[in-house]
Amino acid sequence: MDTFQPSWWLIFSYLILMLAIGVWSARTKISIIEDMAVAGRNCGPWLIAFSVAATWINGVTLIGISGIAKDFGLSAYWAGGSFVLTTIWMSYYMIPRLRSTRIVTIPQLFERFFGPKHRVLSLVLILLRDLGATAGVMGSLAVVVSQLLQISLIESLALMTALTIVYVFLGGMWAILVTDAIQFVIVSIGSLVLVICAFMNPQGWNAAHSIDAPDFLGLLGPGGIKQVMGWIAIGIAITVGYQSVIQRGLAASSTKAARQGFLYGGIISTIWYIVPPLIGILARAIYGADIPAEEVFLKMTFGIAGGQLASIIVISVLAASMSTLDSTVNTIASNFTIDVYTRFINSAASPRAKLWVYRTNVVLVGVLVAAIYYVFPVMMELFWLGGRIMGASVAPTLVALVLFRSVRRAPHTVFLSMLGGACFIIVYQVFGSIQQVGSMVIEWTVDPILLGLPITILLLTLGTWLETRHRSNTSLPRKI
Amino acid sequence: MPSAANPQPDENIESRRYREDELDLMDEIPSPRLNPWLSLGLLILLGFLYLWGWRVVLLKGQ
Repeated sequence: MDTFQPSWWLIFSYLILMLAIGVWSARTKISIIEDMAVAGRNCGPWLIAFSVAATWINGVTLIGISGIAKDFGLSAYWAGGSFVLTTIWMSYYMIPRLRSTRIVTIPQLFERFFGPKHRVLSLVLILLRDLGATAGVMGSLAVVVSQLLQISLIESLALMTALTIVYVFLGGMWAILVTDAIQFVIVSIGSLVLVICAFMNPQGWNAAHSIDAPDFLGLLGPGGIKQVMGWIAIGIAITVGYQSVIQRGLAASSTKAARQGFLYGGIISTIWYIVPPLIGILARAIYGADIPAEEVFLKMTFGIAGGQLASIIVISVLAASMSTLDSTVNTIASNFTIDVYTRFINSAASPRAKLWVYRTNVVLVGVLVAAIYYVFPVMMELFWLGGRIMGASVAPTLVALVLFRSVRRAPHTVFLSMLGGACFIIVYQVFGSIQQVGSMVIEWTVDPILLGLPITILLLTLGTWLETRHRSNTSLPRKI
Repeated sequence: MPSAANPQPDENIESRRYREDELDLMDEIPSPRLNPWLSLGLLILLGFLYLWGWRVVLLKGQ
């Protein structure tokens, strides 16, 4: 790291390209807030596919999952794998139906079915997740940049906030989709370079199979089935309620384009997601078990790749983080603008005024997430703390709403299930049984989502039956 | 007449609430015949299969 000389021209060229795309989008594509939030619903399948993939492939997955894999081996795949497999599932079962409602945000959908009270509750729960996840991604970006430039974390946070939000501010979803496609290509090249370098290292591939840890290369890993099931459950729950990803489907030009985009993006990400676990496994083979989890990725980048190759990898981390950060910032800004300002503060605002409120919110959200990471820098857990709350509340109710007719006629049940699931997870995360607090994740005796999700599903099932049992024609769940 | 495939243009969209007859418009969009939970389970299984392939590669070494 001390001898690393980054290719500044490469890094600056990349950043200028992102800015240029923002300016181009602002001048040619943006006129109303729907252009900012869902790109005017006019995108093709491949733009959607690369953007979905780029959203799932981020700094947290590169740095976080490679750190987890150092301890949990191959099974660390499931710390992200279920996200992308669920994305494929959504392409068939959720996205086409959600598109048909012409919504822009998830809270909008809850109001259409049940009224403003449901909208506000779902908004709060979604923001808990999105703000935490965005702060986690912002953190991964800031950590890399602070080491690269030898600046403090707060300076790094300020710099990356400014760089990321500038093109979102200008071009909204259009800029995000185009930059995501470019960022995806960069990330693929960078991560591939690192894995090839690690495989070619004499202590890499050869030593990986002899690592002295129980079931390190097993499908369930040292954490066992409980750990893997926790990751899979949280992955499914977070994905089905992940607004940033859902908005990609809403941005497609047609239902067919949305379905294809999610399918292709999901498949590409599923294949790619083995990269961070491989980096973690090879890092342990090369550096031993004592290497700190949060240093795995950087150590591999500067120690194994080194030289100009490290520049490519550093840019790929910037690209990976920025591609996720831009979209989650944009999604939260769409919530602030559409679900708060336009709905409750000034519904009569002119389209131009709404557009500038949206852009102001992009700046506010960027500053807010940087502040969250600064005061709570547990990178991977930030991704999951709010995720569990949303995953055990909004996510199951949203799926039920999309798939089952009877749930659409059970407003009290939906409200209480969201509230009950969220409260349980919050209480459990505060008072629950923690095994160990690591630098990347908190290890739980039983992951809160494994208890919270069944409780919400039970509330939904029983409540819907009680609330709709007198409606004979709609009381049964719709068969798919 | 609104439909799921061809909804009405957004009219006063932010405070809009579905009428009883609009609650099931999204069901007009066809879904695969395979049970959704079964298909999700099969996808997860596919993930394990993919992981198993990598396990074989890593155990083999060079």
